[in-house]
Amino acid sequence: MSETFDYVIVGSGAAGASAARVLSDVHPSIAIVEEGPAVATEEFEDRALPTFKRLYRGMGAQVTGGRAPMPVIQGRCLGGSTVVNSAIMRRLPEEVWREWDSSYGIGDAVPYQDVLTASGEIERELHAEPTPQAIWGGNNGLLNKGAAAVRVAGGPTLRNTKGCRGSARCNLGCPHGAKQSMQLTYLPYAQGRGARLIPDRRVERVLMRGARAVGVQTAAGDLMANKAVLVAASAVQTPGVLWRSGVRSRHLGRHFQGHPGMGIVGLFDTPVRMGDGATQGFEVDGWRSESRIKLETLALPPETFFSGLPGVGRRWASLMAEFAHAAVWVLPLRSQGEGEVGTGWRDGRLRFRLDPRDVQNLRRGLRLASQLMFAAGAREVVCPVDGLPDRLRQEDLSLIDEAAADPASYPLALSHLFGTARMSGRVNDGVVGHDFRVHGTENLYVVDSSVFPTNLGVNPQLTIMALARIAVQRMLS
Amino acid sequence: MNRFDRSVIDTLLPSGASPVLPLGLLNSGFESFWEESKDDLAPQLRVAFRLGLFAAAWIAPVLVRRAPPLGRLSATDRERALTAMERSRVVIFRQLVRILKTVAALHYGAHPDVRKAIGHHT
Repeated sequence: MSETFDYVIVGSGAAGASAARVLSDVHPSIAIVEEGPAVATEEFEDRALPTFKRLYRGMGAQVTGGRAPMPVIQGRCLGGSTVVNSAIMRRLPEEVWREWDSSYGIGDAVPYQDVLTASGEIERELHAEPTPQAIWGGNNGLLNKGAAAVRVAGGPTLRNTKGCRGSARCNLGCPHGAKQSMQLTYLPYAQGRGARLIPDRRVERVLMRGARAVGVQTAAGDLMANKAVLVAASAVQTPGVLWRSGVRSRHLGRHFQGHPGMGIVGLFDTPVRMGDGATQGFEVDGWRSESRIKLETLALPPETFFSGLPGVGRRWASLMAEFAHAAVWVLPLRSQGEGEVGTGWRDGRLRFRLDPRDVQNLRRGLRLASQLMFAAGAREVVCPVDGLPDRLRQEDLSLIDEAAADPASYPLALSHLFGTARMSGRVNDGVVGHDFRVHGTENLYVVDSSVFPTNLGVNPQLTIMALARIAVQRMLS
Repeated sequence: MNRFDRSVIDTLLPSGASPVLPLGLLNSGFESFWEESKDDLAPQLRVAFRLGLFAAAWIAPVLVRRAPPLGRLSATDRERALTAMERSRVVIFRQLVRILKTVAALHYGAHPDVRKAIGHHT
């Protein structure tokens, strides 16, 4: 059995929902197909396991292969990763756009002014605001204190929230509906104009008739598209969808990039209570251009806090017991490494390898972040790198400089994913053209972060939304 | 879980390991949790956890020059053995300990008594 729409959008995260938001103003006959379930705000729980099971891809246990495996963090539900991210809105850094322009020749395709204009519109629509000091809580307040003490640039994060109470549960799904994620904003907007949301439906492939996309195939029937199919399934899923649809390019699935990151824990004499305050309400950006590192607070539930601590037995328990006195900050790295998302018989297999320069930047970032912890008043710092003592005192900081060069010694997780169907005006150099259309097709578009030629060094949801908006505007024009 | 598995779980986080956290993994109901949740876990995580239990029971003691299985050793030697596995030069051993701890923490960190003891309000 099949149904027919004008447009079919594959994926309901930041990219798919933003595309639907713009498209529905003009063409309301849209199907937005999502592999994951629709989960209502009142169903969000404050325990990690049921949340991972319902909202995260592979229960959060999707990992890259190889000697230094990393968990790859992605949402898998209606609204995608916007349901479980920390709502951070960062504009595309101008230096990254310059790199896109000079090294990849896509400056004319995605003019910086257009990106800024789209970003501004989205910020207004999604109520982006700096995290109010009233909900900083201990964790965010300490990063502010440390940054001020060492005079490094930082500030409250700009987040798409409305009435945030600082319950520190962004990553488990906001229990108060304060986070303006896609399932509460753009998707209902599009639905109100006639678009249809279809959760729990995995798209197997795009149906092609010659060079023309005519619909998508799902296990529960085909969804036909009169005008176009837009793929926004994420940098991990999009290559597989395209491959199964007959798209062939030597760049498909390659150039897989992201922001590998890890956390450090500061132990303070006074209570921090990271469960009170915004999950990621403060950031330090002053080292990004030099070391490709950004520093952010991150409030964790006990389950994930415990699992990241070193030690077994009494050593492990002694650190767990410090939960109320612990601050957690994370360092996402603008990695220079690349990987691959498997297609064909290797469908979905992930490979990612750090560049040796990444480990140097990571060590430098860990050292700087630890200094900030001590500047904020920490008694000890837990820097969970294999080979380092469980607890570092200020006089031990030089040990971080000598930490292992082996990436497997760092408990990294990979988030913010890019590059696996990159844009290029030259057919031999990318998967999609400057109009976001897959080379060689008439009406098959990719509008998610797969088209980004590089990672960003900052949280990408705003740029993903902005580029999806530009893609649809271009398609309609 | 068999007795070899239980010895690993008990060593990972024994009762009374900290004055703040008197509850050990075993008496916090980890076995029931595992039985109820193992089918929910991602398959690769489930397999890696079982592999971790096996390696901890039969290989970790060798790393501190003791004969396996782990359950035969004194509490001090058991903790030494798992520590040696966690700090081993062999990457896979370190990763297996991380996986054991990740699964253990999914249960232990959600336990109401544990959350209360560490001052986490829900």
